[in-house]
Amino acid sequence: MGGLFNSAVLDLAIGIIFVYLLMALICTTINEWLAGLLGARAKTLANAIGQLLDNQKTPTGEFLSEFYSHPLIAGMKSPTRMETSKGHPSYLSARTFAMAVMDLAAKGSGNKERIGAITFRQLEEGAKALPPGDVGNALLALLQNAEGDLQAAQKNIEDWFDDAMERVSGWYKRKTQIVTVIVATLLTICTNADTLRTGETLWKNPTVRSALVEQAKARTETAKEASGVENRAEYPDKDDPLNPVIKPATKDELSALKPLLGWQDVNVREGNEWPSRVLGWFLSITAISLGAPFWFDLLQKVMSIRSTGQKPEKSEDSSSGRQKTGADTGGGGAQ
Amino acid sequence: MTPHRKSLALFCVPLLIVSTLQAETLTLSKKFVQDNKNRATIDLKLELDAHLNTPHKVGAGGDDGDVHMAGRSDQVRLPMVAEIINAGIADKPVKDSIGLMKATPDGATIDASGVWRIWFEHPSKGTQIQGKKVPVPANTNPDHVFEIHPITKFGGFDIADASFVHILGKSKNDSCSYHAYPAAKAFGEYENQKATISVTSTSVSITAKKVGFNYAEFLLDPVGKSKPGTDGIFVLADVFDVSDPETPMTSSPRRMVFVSGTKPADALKELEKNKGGPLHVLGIPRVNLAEVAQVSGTQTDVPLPYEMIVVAVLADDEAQFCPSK
Repeated sequence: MGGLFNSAVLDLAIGIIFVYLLMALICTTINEWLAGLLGARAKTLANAIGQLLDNQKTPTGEFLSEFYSHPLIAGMKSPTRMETSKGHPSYLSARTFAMAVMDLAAKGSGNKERIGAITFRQLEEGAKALPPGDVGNALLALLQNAEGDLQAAQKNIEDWFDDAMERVSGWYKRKTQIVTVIVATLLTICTNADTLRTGETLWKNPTVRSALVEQAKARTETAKEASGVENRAEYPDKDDPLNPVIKPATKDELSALKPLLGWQDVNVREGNEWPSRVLGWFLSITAISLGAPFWFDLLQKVMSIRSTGQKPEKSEDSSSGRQKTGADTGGGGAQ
Repeated sequence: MTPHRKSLALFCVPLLIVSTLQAETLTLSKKFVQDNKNRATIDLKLELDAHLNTPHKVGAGGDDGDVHMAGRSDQVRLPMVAEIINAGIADKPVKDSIGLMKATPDGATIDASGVWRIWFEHPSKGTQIQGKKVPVPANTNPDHVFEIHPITKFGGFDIADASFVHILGKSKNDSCSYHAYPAAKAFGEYENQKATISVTSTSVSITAKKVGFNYAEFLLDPVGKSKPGTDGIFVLADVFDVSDPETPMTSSPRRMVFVSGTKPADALKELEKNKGGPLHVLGIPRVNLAEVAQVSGTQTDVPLPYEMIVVAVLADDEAQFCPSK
C-alpha cells in the first residue's frame, strides 16, 4: 500500500488536479472581473425589476421610471465601480423594493401630498386607481391575501420580489455557467492547457511533478502554525465586501504551472498532434468548468490519502513532525 | 482538601476543560445561508416562549444591560433567543416594547426584526439542525447558536435608536456604561477560532468550539469603499486596539456590518465623506455567512469566518465605565 501511496501515479494525479484547480481559480477571477466590468449583477437586477414593474402606467407617467426616481431607490445610486454607468445598484432589499412600490401605488389614489405613513386603505385605493397594467393587477392580487393588514401587504410584496429574485438568480447562474465555459475555452487555448501533454510532462519530469505537489501541499495544509489565515476567504476587491472568494492563485503557484503551459516547444504544423491536442483541450475545458471548489475538495481528499501513506517515512524526519501533526489535527477536528 | 474532594476535582476539572473545548455543530440550509449572507437583519414572527422581567445590570461581560427572551420562529427553525439592548434606559419605545413583551402570553407570536447573529457562545451538546423540530425552550437562555441581537423592531415599536448607542446604565445621563473587551483580547480570540465546514447539496454544517467575547471595543479603519447589502452597509476595515492605533489586530481586513439608518451607519457615511480617521466603536462578532458560502467540500478546516456588527460609535471621552466591585 505504501508503495502505491508514494508512487508517481498518486503525485501525477495530485499534479493534474492542482493544475485544474489553479486554472479554475484563474477562470473564476476573470469571471468576477468581467462581471464587475460589465456590471452584470446590476444589469440582471435591472432586468428583474423591469420585468416586475414594466408595462404599467401611472396617472403621471411610467411606474418603472417613477420607481427609480423614488428617494429610497435614487438614494442607492452612487458612482462606485461595481455599478453600471447608469448607477443602477447591484443589490436591492425586498423591504426597500416593497416600501417604494407601496409608496408609489398609494400615490395612485391622488394622495401626492400625503402626510405620515400610508394606510392599507390608501394602498388599496391607489392600486385600484392605477391604469390597467401588470403592477396594478399584481398588487391587487397581493393585497387580497393581506386581509386589510398593511404589514401583511408589505410582506406579500416582499415575497413577490423575492420570488422574482430567485428566478433571476437562476438566470444569472446559467449565464455565469455559459461565460465560465467560454472563459475556460479561451484560457485553455491561449495557454495551451492540454491535459494529455500536462500528464505526459508530469510523468516524465519528477522535478516539475514534485514542485507541483509541494505547492498543492502548501495550499491544502490546514493546521498552520503561523497566522492560520490559510483557507480564509479573501476579498480580491477591497471595495466589494459582498463577494469574498476562496484564495486566488498565488505567484508561486502560477510559476509552478509554467513548465506545463504555453505554446513554446510546440510544432503547430505537426498535423498528427492536433487530434490529441484537441482532446487534451476538451478535457481541460470540461475540468475547469467544474469549478475551483470541486477540484479543491478532491485535492484535499487525495492529499490526505498521500499523507496517510507517508506517515511512517515522515516520522524519521524531524522537520516533518509539524506536517504529521497537521494531518492528525485535521482528521481529529473533522470527527 | 480532603482526598474525596481532591479526587472529585481531579475528575471534574478535565471534564470541565473537555466540555469547554468540545466542538459543536450547527447545520444550516444552503438557502438560508444564501438569503442572509449579505443581510444585516432578519424579519420574523417570533413565538415568544420565555422572557426575563428585568434587564441585566450594566457592567462587563454578561452584564450587558439587555433583556433576554427565548422563542421559536418559522423563518429560523433553530433554538434561538432575542435581545433588547439598552433595556434599562426606558425610553418610550424601549419601555413600550418591554411592556408588550411582558404582556404577551407564552406561545403568542410577535413581529420582530433585528440583527441576525450566529455565534458559538451557548452551543448545545448535540448538533443543531435547521428545520428540525425546535423544542419549547425551558428558560430564557436555552442552548442556542442563533440569536437576534440586537432587536431593532418589536411588535411595531422601532427601538433601533436605543439599540445602536453605547450600552448605558439606568439613564442616558448615567455615567456608568458597559465595559467591553479590549480589541487586543477579543480579536486575539476571534482570530484563533477554528471551524470545520461541511457542505452538501442542500446544507452547510459549521463545527466550532464554544467562544464568547460578545462585545469588543476597537478602532476600525476602512480599507475600501462601503457597499450596501440588502439591508445594511458592509465595509472591509483594519482593526486596532484603542491603546495602539498602529498595529492591526487581524491578519487581514475584516468585514464590518452596519445596519442602515442607524447612528453607526451615519457615522460611517460621514467618515467616508470626510475621508477621516478610524472610528472608535463597540462591535459584536458573528459568523460571516458570505465567507462560509465560499467554502466547499465535505470537511474543510478553516479559521472561523467572522464579521463584526457595529452597534455603537463611541466618543473618545465616553469610556466611563462602571466602577468594578
